[in-house]
Amino acid sequence: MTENIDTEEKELPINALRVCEAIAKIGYTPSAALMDLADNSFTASATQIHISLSTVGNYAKKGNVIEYGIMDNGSGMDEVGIENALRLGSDDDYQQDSLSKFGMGLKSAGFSLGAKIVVFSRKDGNATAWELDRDEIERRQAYIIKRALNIDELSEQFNTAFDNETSGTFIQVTKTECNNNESAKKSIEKLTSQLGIVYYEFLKENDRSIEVAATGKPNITISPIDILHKEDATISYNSDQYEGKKPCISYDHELAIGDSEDCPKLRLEISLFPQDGMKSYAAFSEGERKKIASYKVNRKHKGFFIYRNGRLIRWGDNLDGIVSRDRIGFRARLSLNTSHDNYLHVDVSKQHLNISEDILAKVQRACEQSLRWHDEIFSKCTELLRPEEGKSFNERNSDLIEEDPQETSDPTTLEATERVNRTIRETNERIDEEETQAPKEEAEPETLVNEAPSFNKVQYSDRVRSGLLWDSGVDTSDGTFVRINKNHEFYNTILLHLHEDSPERQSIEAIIWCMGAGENITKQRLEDVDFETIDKVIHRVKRTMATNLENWSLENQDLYTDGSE
Amino acid sequence: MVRNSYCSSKARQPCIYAILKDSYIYIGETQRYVFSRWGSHLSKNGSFIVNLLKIDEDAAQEDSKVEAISFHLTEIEENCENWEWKKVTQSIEHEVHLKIDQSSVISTKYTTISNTTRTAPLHSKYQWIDSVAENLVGELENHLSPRDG
Repeated sequence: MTENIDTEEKELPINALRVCEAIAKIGYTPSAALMDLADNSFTASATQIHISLSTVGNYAKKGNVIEYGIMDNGSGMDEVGIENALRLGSDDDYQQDSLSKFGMGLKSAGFSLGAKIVVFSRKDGNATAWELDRDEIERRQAYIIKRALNIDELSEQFNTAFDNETSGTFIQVTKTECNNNESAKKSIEKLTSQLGIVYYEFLKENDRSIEVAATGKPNITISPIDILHKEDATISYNSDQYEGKKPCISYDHELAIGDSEDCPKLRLEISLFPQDGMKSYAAFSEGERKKIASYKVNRKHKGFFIYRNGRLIRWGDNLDGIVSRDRIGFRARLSLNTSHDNYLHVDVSKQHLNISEDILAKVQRACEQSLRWHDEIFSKCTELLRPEEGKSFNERNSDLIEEDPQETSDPTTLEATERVNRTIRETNERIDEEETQAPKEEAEPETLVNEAPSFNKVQYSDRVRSGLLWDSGVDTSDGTFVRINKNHEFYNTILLHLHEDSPERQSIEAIIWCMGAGENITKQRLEDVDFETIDKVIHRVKRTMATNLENWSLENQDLYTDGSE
Repeated sequence: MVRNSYCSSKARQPCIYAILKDSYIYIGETQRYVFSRWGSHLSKNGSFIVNLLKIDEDAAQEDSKVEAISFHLTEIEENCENWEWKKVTQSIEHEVHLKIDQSSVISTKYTTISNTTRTAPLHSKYQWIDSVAENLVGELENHLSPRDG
């Protein structure tokens, strides 16, 4: 009995209608389906592609498209070619860099748009046309194709578009009413905003073009768009020179994948963009602001843009959370080809891939620095766009009095007065010295916050004595002020990530100012100990504290940069 | 850059080291005796063992050969202030991680189990960091290649 089962064979019939219905519903939107059909045109070496949507009624009404058309001047097909193209699972003889994969695209994309697909093709001047109709398949209970009767009409349309080209193909999809597709307006909007990015590699070749048209609307010619805007970008990110204006290429290398040295590498390119808000930054020219607006720095345009054989297959993927929701200025292009398919498990629609943990880990490592630079770039933009550091603290605390818990009134002895004067004098000398030591080529004044005439208790400076987190000083009339060191790692790791108005930022500023006040009061009023000794002790304490805080900051640089802000 | 002959180290010197076990590689940095760092890695709570346990318990517990190699970063000693050593070493350590992922020789045979997420400095003023990392990975490739020959 068992032996019989082992050797017995039966060919089971396929329910063609059910298969057609299934492949029509693998998740295409009309614009994605049209682009999948356009893939066939590029595979056929077309240089011109014309996408048309024929509509009835309101342009913006859902389900108003009655016919979708894709026409190209590619190599065309003969009878056998069309037959193969319309077969479920076309022959697997694709070239290495083909956009096709499983031989299902034409049928699944076509049926997702409508129930009837007509393929007209001309090869070396000979035209032929066949149609695949789901109603006919249902009626006949078989997967059949029929010679199209409207070949003259199709031929005329083709000639009008392509000036009697001797080769090319025209795919026409009708019987769209069953699908209640999105409106022509929506499809055209998606196509015009995406085609230039999806087919960037193809369109950047001079002689190639895609045109999109809808009934009663002017034709739209699609221009190539480099999602990374490398043409405008600086070739690396330099924090000192960054102006918040241009994208920066932060990574461009090839990653080794697979378990053999022969496996082609994956190219990963990363571009970091300034905040979209910089498009209204007053210090930039109108042209510069327009350029920033054209980068479309938003959630829709962030993440990984994955290209297979030069065609975009994944739009703005976050690759398992590598790019978190708020990293909107981070864009990466991952370029792969057919030989990577098995490593990355590309699916039937070529829109999804399943990347192994090992490859993901490499991509993540490659992105880590860029992600942190992204955060820094955004912080710098925020810095340019928002209030000055220390402003909130200074505004709230202008009346805050320095207090010595051991004194009941201001000191009046000669010694005490001398100490106060000495603290003021040394403050001024130190600041003057730092000014003198600043590099001569830097003509700009110290980037202090308190450029305004009013006194600020908390100031930020990039010229504080090396190593210290803050330097304290005394103003003749207003008392203690502190200058927080912008070169200290604690500033970069922590303070820079806290909004100027945040309670956390103001609390840290309060602690630092109070330390400064404590320092000055001790120097001025601890008369039992000579001034030099106090100064030495305080400096030693501050230096040690700053060094340990620097080490802690270096070990915890991810505290505010893990994308979970 | 001078590759240490396995265990020569001063009390204080900037080093990048690699620890290899089966098909796993761990990259780290230290400013002190490199062999004492290795020792702590191989203890029960050491980063090397902990990281390996997370992804391959068998390999972590297996009594297989562990190999360690260190690179004394003389460029840092020659060109940097003392207080910069750690930060510059961390920058090189990060670059080494990236270059290992780009290396077909290492990356196709070894899985990296260390990372620099918490320690990679955001910026470095020294342009030569990239070439030091490049040379180091080249040395590592040369060292690892004959093993599979």
